[in-house]
Amino acid sequence: MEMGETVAVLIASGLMIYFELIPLYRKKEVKTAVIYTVFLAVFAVLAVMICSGVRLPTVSSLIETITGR
Amino acid sequence: MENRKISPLSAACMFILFMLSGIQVMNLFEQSKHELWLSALVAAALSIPALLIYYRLVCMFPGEGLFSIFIKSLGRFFGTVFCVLYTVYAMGVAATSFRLLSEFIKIVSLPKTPEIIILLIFGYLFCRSVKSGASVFSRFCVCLLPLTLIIFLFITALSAGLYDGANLTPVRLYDLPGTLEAAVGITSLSFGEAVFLIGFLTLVSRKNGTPGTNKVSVRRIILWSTVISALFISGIMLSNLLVLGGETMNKLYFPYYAAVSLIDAGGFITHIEVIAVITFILTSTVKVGVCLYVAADGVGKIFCVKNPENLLFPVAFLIIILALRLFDNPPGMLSFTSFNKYTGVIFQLPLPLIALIAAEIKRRRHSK
Repeated sequence: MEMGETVAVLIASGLMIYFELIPLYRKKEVKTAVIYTVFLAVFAVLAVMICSGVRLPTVSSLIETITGR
Repeated sequence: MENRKISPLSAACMFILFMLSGIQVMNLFEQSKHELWLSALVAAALSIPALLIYYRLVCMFPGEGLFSIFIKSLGRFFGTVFCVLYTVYAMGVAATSFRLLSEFIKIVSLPKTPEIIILLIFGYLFCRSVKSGASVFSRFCVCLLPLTLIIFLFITALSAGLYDGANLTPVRLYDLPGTLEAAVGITSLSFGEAVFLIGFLTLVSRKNGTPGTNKVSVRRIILWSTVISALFISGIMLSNLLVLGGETMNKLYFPYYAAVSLIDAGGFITHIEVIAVITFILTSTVKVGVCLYVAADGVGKIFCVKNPENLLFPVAFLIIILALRLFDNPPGMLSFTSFNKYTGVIFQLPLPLIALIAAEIKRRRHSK
């Protein structure tokens, strides 16, 4: 199942690169393309980590740490 | 973004759907469910100050987006700080709605499907729905609202046979703090989040088509949309209570779904809970769509990007990651939403008030 999720994430990222990111570079919208690339890279890395079972902290656990509840 | 003109009817439809979007999950953060229907009405009353602030901001900055309003009223530096805060808040609200939707679908119908797959599919749909701009999105809401309201009324009518009057207890004085707390939660989850609609309301056009914000229409939109939403939310909460009773509601994450699943009209109409799923998806489309639009607009404003609609997909991807890491399990959902209602209030009342005061001071200085 984890492998399937990782493949789905990679396919989604690949589709976005092909249909959205490459046209942005072609249209010379460099700033938008750079932001797009950074966001997509962050998504791909974190999504693959989550799919691979890496335990990232959750917002609710951070809240519990801060509030002490 | 493109297509910057919205008709009053479209804006009203968007407003109502936005308010109704949390109806499936509004019982999440409260212990007592007996007075939830009353809390919905109190919530509408509590949201009046916030809505008046939004109305004034809309009137002062016709045709401007939420972030342009902040920069014009607070100046470049503080305006950008507000832009960052509200972009993060919009992403947070979108992530919460996203996660509640995926959690809902996972619990009620697709328990073995990985959440990231559900989120990716819905992320694509939500992005496509707002990609064409505010005007097209608002017209999409005009199509959705009648369908959603008809479904709500149809379900309520079919539930009438299951009503048990014994489930409706009198409103007691010592329950008042609990009722008020629930009202604050509903305000934070539903009515107060209308702060994201400021950028859409400034685009409401005049009847004759001349440019500028139609102040009378905006006032009517805010007033009537809030009243209609409050009545619908209250009615559905009351219907849930009459069908299930307070004790059963306490044990369920999604009582609306459970109440709908009990409907049996003479053995002919049964198992229509899928309709409850459809309404949740439809209303969530509007809420997540609006938040996505605002978040992409915010990112565009912060990085000075000309076409923020190009950033919808990457912003949606970040929201998906955030949604996945909000909480680990359904019990975590309860503690998260109970905390979320207090953080939401900060963005819904004090911060817009600061922007309004700054804008008023600036306006008076200019008039002198």
